[in-house]
Amino acid sequence: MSSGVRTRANGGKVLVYILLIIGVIISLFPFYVSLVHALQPDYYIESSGAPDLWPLEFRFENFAIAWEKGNFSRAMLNTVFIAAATTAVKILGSCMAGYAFAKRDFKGKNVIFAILMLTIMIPDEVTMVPTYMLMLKLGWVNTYLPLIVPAVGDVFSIFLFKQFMESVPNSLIDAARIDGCNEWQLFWKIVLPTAKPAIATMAILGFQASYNDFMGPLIYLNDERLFTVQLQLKAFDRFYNSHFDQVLGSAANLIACVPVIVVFVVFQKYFVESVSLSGMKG
Amino acid sequence: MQTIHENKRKRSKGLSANAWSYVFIAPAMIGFFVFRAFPIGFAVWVSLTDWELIGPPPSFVGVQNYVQAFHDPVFGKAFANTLAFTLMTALGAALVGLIFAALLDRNIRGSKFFRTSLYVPVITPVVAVVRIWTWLYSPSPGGLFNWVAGLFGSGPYRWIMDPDMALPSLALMTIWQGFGWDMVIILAGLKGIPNVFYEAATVDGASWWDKFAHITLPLLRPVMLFVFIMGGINGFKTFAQPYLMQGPMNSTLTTSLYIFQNAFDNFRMGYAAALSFIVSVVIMLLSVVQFRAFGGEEGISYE
Repeated sequence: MSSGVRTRANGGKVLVYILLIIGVIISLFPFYVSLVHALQPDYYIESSGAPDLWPLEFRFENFAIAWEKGNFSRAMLNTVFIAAATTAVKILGSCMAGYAFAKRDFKGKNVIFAILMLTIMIPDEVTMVPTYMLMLKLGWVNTYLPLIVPAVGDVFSIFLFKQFMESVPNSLIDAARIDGCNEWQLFWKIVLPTAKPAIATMAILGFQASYNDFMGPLIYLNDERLFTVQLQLKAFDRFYNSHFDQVLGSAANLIACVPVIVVFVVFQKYFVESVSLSGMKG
Repeated sequence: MQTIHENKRKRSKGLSANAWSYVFIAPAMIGFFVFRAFPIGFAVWVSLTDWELIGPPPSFVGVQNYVQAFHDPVFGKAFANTLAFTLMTALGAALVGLIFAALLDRNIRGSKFFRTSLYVPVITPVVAVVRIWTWLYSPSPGGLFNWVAGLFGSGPYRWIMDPDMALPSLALMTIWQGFGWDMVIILAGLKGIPNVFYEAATVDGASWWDKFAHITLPLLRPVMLFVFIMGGINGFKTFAQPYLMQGPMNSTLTTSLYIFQNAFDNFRMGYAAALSFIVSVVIMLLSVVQFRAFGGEEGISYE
């Protein structure tokens, strides 16, 4: 642990705490006033003075009403399905390829990898229009396939798995070969289990990315039964007629936030790891 | 190596090591070529046609779409907006991130709690953020921002409904949501600065500010450049915020949103594809700067 050398006398620490607390208030206050708003009763009329810091009544049933109105049961199931399928496909494709690029010799390896790396700089904007036209031709519009299938060749994940696999000792792989594993078994029984930490990080991040994705579902899904949580939340605006509808809107906002915030708080260390993976060496 | 390959050949029933390697990369490569490489090439062709989703079959029009883009005042407006928005958000998030990273670096109790709380907006879905902030930006005197402005004796303002304030308001929201990411990266950079520098400076009687200005900031320059460029790349891709929170008179129109509107509202695929390439040149230039500065190995992130 670094010593207190970096810090000056304790007097400075009070200021540090005050500034950090102000930061936390700024970060979390919008959620707090939303929560207060979401709990207001149906006779509530928005005040014209200071924002309300305490509800007139605690109407927890507002969340149930908003859940029902926004069809969030269905949307949550849809979203979890998309997130799980996308993440599974992405991990399988990139783990296998990452292993091959890191640990195997084959003809054309360097050329293929160079092509992958070249395209990493080309932003998704370029492919948005032609990919949509391709999906239209394939008859995949208004299905989950455009959101799930392309993940199998996700270049960034391949890159991350290759980096990770390079740290797996060769002796482990060679020993398994000598023990009579064929290449297929070797991958499933030896390589994949060693990649567990990387897979866990990818899974958590993949869930978050799929859950929060807005543009993909917006482009490809028209049928309300297929809507994700984000699309249902966006569609919630159509109910806005009265003050109470806005209260329910705040409840819907929080409903959409809770799963991803819970996942973040519980699996925080994976997020921190991913930042160091994707960012730079510490 | 030789013996291993021989073993492999014997045990894998005829499939050579090479063949097995191709089996392993096959799913990813098929996905890559169909959904990434092919669309990139196809985009070039589409951008040279007058392709519309509905209507007559497309015909080749050469660089007409590109020429049109440079004479399109709406695209010019969108480009200027995007540039201003990107500068505000990339600088703002890097600066606020630096401040909180410096505070968190000072061995305080509960740093994990502070870090978590400051990071929560980063992982919050953008649709919810925009809906919450639209309500906070309410033009009525009871809106949170008008209440805060009222404390300073000004307002009420119309925020996103005011053509002059809409873009800065959008940027403020984006900085609020994004600075936690910059903070975590910068914090990792700060932790990497060896303590001996600070110890030596302390012996020399340097103040906290001296150390910050003469040790921390210079050593942190590559990290700051990294978060700033990443902010630039993400800023240029901004779509959801202006799509969900639109100011009047194209005041918040960004290039990504304009491309989307051309493609999916007006079905002008050819023109949209051409616009995509123009915007992508900027993003790729930023990426090249980033690659040059940090090397391809550790400098890439699309999170």
